[in-house]
Amino acid sequence: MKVTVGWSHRRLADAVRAWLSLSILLALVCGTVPIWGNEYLMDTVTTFLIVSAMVVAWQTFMGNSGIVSFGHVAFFAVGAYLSAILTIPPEIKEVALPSLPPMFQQVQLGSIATVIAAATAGGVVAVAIGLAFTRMEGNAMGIATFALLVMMYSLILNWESVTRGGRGIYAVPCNVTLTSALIALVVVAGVALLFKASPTGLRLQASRDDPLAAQALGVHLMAVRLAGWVLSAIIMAAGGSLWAQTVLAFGPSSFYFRDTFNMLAMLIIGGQASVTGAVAGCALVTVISELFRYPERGMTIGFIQIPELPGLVHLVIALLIMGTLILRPSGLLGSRELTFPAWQWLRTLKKRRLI
Amino acid sequence: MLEVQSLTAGYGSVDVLHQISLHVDAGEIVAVLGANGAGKSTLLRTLVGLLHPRLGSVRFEGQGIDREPPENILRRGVALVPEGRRIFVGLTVLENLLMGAYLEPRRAVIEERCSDIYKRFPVLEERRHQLGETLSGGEQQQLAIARALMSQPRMLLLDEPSLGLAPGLVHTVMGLLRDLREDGLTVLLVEQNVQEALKVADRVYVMASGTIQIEGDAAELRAGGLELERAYLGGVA
Amino acid sequence: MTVELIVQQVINALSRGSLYALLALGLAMVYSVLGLMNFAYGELVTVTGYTMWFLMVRGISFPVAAVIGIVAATVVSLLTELTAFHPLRRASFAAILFSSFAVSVIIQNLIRQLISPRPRGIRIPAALDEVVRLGPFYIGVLSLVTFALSLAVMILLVAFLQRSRWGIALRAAAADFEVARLVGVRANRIIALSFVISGLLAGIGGVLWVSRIGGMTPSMGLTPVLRSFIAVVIGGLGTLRGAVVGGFVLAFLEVALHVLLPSWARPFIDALSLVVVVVILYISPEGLIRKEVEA
Repeated sequence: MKVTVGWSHRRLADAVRAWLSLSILLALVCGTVPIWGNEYLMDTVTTFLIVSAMVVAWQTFMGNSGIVSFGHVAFFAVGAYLSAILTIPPEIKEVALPSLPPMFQQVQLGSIATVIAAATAGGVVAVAIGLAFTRMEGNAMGIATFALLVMMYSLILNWESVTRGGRGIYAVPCNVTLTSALIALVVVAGVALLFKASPTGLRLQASRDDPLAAQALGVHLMAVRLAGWVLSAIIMAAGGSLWAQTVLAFGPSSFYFRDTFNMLAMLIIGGQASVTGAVAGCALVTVISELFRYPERGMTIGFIQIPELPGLVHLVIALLIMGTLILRPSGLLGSRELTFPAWQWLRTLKKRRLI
Repeated sequence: MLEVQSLTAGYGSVDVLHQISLHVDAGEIVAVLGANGAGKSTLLRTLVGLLHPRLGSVRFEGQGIDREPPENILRRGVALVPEGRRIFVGLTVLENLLMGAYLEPRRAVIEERCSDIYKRFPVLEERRHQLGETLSGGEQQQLAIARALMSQPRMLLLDEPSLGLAPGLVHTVMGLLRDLREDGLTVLLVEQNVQEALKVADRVYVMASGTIQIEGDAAELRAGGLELERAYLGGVA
Repeated sequence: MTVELIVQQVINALSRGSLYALLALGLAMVYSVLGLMNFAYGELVTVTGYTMWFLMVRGISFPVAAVIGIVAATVVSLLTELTAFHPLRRASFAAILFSSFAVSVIIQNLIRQLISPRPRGIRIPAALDEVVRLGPFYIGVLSLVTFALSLAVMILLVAFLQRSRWGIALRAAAADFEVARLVGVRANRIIALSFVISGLLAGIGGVLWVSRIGGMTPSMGLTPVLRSFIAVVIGGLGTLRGAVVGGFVLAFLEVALHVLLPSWARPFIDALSLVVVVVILYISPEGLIRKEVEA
């Protein structure tokens, strides 16, 4: 028996509402940032927006499919490194990456073209890997993504001619501003919310909640998982591209356990099944990281001398994860999205035919 | 010996058992019959503590056991022979039996129980050093029952012991249950094989859709045919 | 490629393999009973190392420090079960996997905070540093000790699992957790036992590992858990026997590749062995990942 699912007016309306709410909130918050005139704050917020976009990308696959992915930084890496290669001025590439093929050696693209190229590359890699991975049983795929993480890191570290290995890549031009990052996150959030409400997204969620029942209803597990996997990879790679053009210099260590851990923390704490949750989690973890960065280096508050406490930030985040998993496993937002009470209020008014 | 009152249990938010009430007196064999999905396995799992009921109570020898884990229920003298035999893979026949007597620390007592078991199940003695999974279906069923008997329970629960067994072997198993009753064991048997179950049981309950449809003496039901069939398949109103 | 070279490499592989097998056993122990792939396992090696450094820097001798290090690893292993994994017994597979990730970060950073954030070295006893000559072959004493000790521990473990009441109960629980409970095995105790044995193996393996490297860093735990993970998967289906086989196979594979591959390809050995893991997961998905344990 095959059940066909189509677009539902209500789901679409909910998605649009959530998207508008989130976008307005973000715009308001980010709008106040330039007022402070603090460059560090602007950089932090810009990075926050981009990392949020990547966490949303991660959410698009994990939240909808229920399959844990440890390997998504692989797509982050693909996007970042490809963008670096495409945007670094040729004169510098001659020195820094002498063994690149001439086509890459001489090119220098603008930011939009680069993001598109990165997204495409991410998609292609995701299809190749996904065809094998999505055939596996859910839990097996989760463990396979762990292998992906380590493999990609090993590849980056050792493919010196393209990545400069452990020395890291530098001189990426700064093409990204606070505004463009905000726009990017808004777009990404829209895509993610749309997917969550779409028929494919719904089928993927069905496979998450009960794979056997879903199959019985005609859901093709591999196809929907692949769809989620590739979409999330495309966004992730695009995010990586923007990230590279903000951070300007990076190395392989940004694509390994520490960053995987950080982003997964954001996703778990905020709520795996929610796009807003992904952003909220990112915000929370970013704030905590900034807060605890000072005691980590050791400081004096009045009389009290706090010694250097290495690894404090990570410790706190890990404890937060454990707390979330034990006490509130669905995360802060669960699967709920953001809606302003205003919308509910409008709805009620409409119902009572007052407007 | 066993008293179940208004038992309601299930998985997650879905109830499978609805207000089940039944009782088993000492020394009798009671059969619970029903088609697939009637909730028979769920009933046994709840009785033995693998599942906690949402509502209702289970009392064994006067004491409530509905919130106890299986480890404790075994200590009270109730043993389950699970569906599909489920003998320990990678362990020999002897080791399976030893596990059955896990609660008993004294070597001598265990050895004594083993020799009693071997008298009843000679084929197990023959194969005692073989890996459990190399036994045939019928032998595995015997092993599963023997393992449960090693803890010297006062009441034995069996989940579809005839499943997957050739008719001859089913006879043997049922005969075994009769012998056990002679030795004073109380048996609650869940079965799909109505004929065989009716031959060996004293009383019968018929379940459908998580409720008890019929309760009665096996002899009466053997005679009454049609009502039994209706209850079995879809439930009387 | 001379015969001598081959034999020499075989000796290396045997020693390395025995260490991998030992460590893989510790990982497989918890996996076989709980179905949990414990990422935090590698940190037990780190705990052993830093405990030893901490004590030796204060004048405690190597053998005593080693024993205390092993005890430390065992205690930490049990603690992780009691505080982190026990509360999550009914959680989803993904949640438990995350939590072991989080636990590993917590342990790592606690070591950084409480013992030392810096890489440290230890001096192993001179006797272990020696090299013995057997005909044309050179064998490090440490390698010999590694092989002998690992083998001895594995034999003891097998004896425990085959003969003792708890050992058989552990195997039964690994075979069918639910039915083990039906015969009266207390779920929590047997799980705790598996963590204790896991910690013990990690501790002993940790002493050997740290001696081999001569030092430690707070993030050193990744390599042993990665190797153990690969060994467990390659050996097949997360069984204890498979872990041992996998450990030796992995060691031989690594040594062979190291010798046969040109130097530019050597860093990719890690990636290669992971490809093998993915292929195995692809081919036999059912066997490797067990159903959730109901407790």
